[in-house]
Amino acid sequence: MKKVILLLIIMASSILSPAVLSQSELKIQKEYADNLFNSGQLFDAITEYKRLQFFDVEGQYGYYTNIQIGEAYKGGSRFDDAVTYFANAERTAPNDSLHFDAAINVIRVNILRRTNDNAHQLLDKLEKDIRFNDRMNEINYWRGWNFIFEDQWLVASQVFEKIDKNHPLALISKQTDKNKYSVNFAKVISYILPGFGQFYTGNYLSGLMSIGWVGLTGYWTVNSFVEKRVFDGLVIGNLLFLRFYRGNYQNAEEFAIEKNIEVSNKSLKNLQNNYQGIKP
Amino acid sequence: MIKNILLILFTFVSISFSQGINYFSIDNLKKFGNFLFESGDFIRANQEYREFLTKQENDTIRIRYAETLFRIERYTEAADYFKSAFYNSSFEDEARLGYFKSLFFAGLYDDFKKDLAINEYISPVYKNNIMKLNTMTYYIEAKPLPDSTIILSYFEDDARIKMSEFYLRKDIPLRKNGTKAALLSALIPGSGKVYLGEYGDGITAFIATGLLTFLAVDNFNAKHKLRGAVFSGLAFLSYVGNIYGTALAAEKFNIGIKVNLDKEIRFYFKENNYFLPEIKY
Repeated sequence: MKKVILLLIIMASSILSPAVLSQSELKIQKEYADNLFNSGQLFDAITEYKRLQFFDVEGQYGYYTNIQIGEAYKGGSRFDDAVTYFANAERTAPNDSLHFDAAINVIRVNILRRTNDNAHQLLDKLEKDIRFNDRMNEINYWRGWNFIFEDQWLVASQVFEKIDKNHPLALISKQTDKNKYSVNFAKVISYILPGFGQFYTGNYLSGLMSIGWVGLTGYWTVNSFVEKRVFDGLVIGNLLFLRFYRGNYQNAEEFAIEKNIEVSNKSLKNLQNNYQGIKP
Repeated sequence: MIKNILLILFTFVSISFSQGINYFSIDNLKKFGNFLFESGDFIRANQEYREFLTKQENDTIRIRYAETLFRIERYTEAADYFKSAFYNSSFEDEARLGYFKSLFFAGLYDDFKKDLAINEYISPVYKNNIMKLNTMTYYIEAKPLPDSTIILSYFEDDARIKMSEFYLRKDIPLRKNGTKAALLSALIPGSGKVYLGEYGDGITAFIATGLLTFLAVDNFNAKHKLRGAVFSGLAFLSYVGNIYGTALAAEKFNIGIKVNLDKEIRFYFKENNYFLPEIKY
């Protein structure tokens, strides 16, 4: 009996070695940092994750802390710092799947901070990597979002359709593209019929003003030539008529661009508030 | 015998428990704070050092704490902490430089000059850097400059040449007379703008006013009274607008000289890290 007790005590003492205690301390620290993170105290959470990372000499929580610090920085809109830590997570990822997740996080931050070219390059890199052939849908999903943030809704819808013909984001993107005004049409119609580009974008008063000014100065120009006052005609034509004519189509173009920004912003707001899937 | 073994094992287990790492111990606060400081996370290093200093005094940590305050732009607090390390510290010289640089960045130039007169506040090691900061205060402040031979003597070679150039431009700015510019434009439309160096605007104003006047006259001659009146109005607006615009442009020009020079000076100081040395605490 005594021998058994002795054996048990020896076993217990070996289990409760400092190394094991150190592990439990790291776990407690992780839980502490997690609590701060989950309660939205991001600044303090970053400090505690960094503390965990610093004392975790074996790097057991390296990937996890990098991801969490990245998320916390992202939550605080410190996108550059977030990218740094997500990139660290990529380097410390213990397997391909987690490496992919970290890379996607880098891409999401790039989408958010509108460094869309970077996001495309990183997506291309993932697409070419044979290890991630089975995760093509995710790649397409984030590429679609990247196109949305680049205001290329039609291309975005085509990319989402690669995942599923009826993907909700494909439908929203397509609808947004349909709602947009054609900048070229607004400009061309104003070349032919001054003021009609403004009518097309719903700016009727501006359209009427354009018709009036272009008409009046056009009449003065023609009238001067008819009365053989050529110099007058040239000056009025160049300084007034062409000024109003150019202003007319430039104005129509600007209105179309402004309206398109409104349409895009409305869709983005709708996605932000109502879309249930993962967002950048 | 068994009792003895049990006692030894119990002691061993107790020691094992007591060796569990406390990440918030004084030593670990220092280690973690130093890690944050070296990785450039000064705001968090500041927190760790503050916690450390509530429990233990340490010269290095005190000066590093002051430096973190400086890096996170809490300059007046940084100045206070640097000042607290003026005496009985291993970093007395660094603290004095830190104090003056904090006052400089806080924009407390009067305090800077007042304390500069206290001889014991000046570190012999960093005297040159402190005096350079003092010179820079004159360049940044909107006050008359003192004698150049004194304030420029602390700068060497290229820096002295550049500082002399700034000195001259600040001391004798190349201003333009607004009244003269407006009068010129009244005599010949656009000539005031040419005087201000805005050649394109000057020529455009001359042509526009001339053409509009011609159109007014020509339309009156052709018995188009309405058009004549419209072009007369436009010609008048162009003439008066040009005079007014010239006066404004002269004012803008003079403000621009000051603003651009200030920008250039500040950029030069920043580019040269305010002539401050790299210090490893």
